[in-house]
Amino acid sequence: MDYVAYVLYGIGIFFNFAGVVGIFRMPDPYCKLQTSTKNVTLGCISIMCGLFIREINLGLIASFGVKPLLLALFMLITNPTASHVLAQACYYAGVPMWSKSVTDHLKGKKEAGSDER
Amino acid sequence: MSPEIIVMFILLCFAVALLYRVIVGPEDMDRIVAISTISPITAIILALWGLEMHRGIYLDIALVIALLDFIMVVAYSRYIRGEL
Repeated sequence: MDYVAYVLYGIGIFFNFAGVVGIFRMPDPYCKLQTSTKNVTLGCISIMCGLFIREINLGLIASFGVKPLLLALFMLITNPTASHVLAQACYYAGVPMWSKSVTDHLKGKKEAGSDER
Repeated sequence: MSPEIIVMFILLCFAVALLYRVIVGPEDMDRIVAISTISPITAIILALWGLEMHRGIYLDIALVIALLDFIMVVAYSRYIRGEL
């Protein structure tokens, strides 16, 4: 049963690595947000599930409980939300997109929920 | 050496590598994206360390760090939109 946890650790490390490489290599903040959010969220969730399995195997269920799964659920909810809020604020604050970007669905639209600007 | 220590070391290398992007990032947005990526990695390192030490209190600290990261990102977003 421990090997399942080790495989989950490996998946998590791979996706975290992909997120870090994306932050280093992507050209503008929007691409960086996309790669970092997807990959780091999936990596964190899989590492937390592996930690839950390890905790059951080590007999620590009394002191740990379901807190790892709770943390994974919390990250699953808040990490994409924060990324979306940050990307929207970034767009309306006028951060330029990459020069080779293909599409821009928000061009010409007014900002939702705000009067001026 | 338990596998948690190895995973912790690798994730620590990732976090230290992201500090480069925080320090020399060309714009402010790059810095804030890198910081919001460091925080979940820090939470995971704390949880793994709690499993290594057999103490459950580290998971609460990890939860608080994840919560503070969310609040920080939302507050910064409102700040650069001029609503704060």
